[in-house]
Amino acid sequence: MENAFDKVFKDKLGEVSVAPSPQVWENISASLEPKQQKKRVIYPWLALAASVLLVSLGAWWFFPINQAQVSAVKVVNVQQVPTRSINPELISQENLPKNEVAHIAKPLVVNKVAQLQQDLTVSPVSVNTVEPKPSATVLQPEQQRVALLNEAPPKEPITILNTPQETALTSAQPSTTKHVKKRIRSLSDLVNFVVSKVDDREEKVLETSSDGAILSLIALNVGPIKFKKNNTEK
Amino acid sequence: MEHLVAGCKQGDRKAQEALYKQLSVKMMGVCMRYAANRTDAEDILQMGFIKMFQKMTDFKNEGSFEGWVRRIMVNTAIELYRKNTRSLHTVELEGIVEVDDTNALSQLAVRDLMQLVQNLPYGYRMVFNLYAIEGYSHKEIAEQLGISEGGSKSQLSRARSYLQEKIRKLEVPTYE
Repeated sequence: MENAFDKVFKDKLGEVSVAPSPQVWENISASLEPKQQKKRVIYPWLALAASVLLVSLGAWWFFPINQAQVSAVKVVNVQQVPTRSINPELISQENLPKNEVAHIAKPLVVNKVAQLQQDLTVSPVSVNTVEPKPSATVLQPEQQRVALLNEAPPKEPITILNTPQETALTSAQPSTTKHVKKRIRSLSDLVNFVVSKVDDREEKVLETSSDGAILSLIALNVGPIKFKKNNTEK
Repeated sequence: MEHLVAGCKQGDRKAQEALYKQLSVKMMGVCMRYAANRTDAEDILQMGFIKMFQKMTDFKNEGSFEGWVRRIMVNTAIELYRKNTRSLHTVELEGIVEVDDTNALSQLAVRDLMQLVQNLPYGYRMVFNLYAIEGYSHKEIAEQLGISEGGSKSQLSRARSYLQEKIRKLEVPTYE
């Protein structure tokens, strides 16, 4: 009885033919088409974006300290050199090619700056605040600019730099330490920035500096545990 | 047909269109039974055909191709049902009256029968189609729909009595 009832439905509806609207095929063929094209378009872009990201991450990881030094020199020169009258005797000796000047002058300048930083007990954070853009390509023009501004004999670049630097750094010190707008140039800056947002005490819960390629902890302040590197005292 | 199937496996657009034209009318008939209306049936048909073209290489030329496609359509309807119904169905067995309406029933037009099936509540419609027309067992239905075997049995009974009730009402005007 039950099966007879079911059988009527099975016989009559089991093999029914109904014409679907033409829209159905249009939708099906549309969904079969674009998928193959999309795949071809997307992958090269993804690969390109991924490699650019990788290269820039690598550059940022390996070169952060160089920029800090070059930019410190740059700031000193830009601020001070134009106001000084250039010694005519020194100009007469500038027959050396510019690139060479840059080459010889740079390490000396950098060393001096590094030493001055320690003497003046300027924290690395305050130096970092005046850094330019982080990309490695910026390095090239920076060096040339240093060379241009230092059109002095390679023997004595220090004498020119010495005084402006001292004034520049000493004058910069009070303003930079209280500067709110710090630029983020390295991982340590990022860490310090985040910490400063969370912790508004004078001595932060932790403070870092990028030491070459390694991120190092320079200050820690967690309740009873409190430590700070000597050369970074404010 | 074999020719078209081979063409479709290689992604030939013309073969795909030809195959669709050959099978869509029959498959639409299948989808109609599982849907509440034409639009829903076309949705199932569309999803089923897209799935079929994507899985084309799975067909190993064993058994009838049409039977394979039909199973895809039914499975698509089942998937849709499972997606649409997350809640468990309550099992009620009261008030089921079996009436012998087979004679009156056999005089009904296909169109009317289709409408009756389409008007069945969703769960009843699924079980009735799978059991009475596709020939699935209660065990298979329970697995496919994610319900108990007893639930499948009770829904089938309720589907039948629901249909019989509707048929009786349809018959009334002709006997007056």
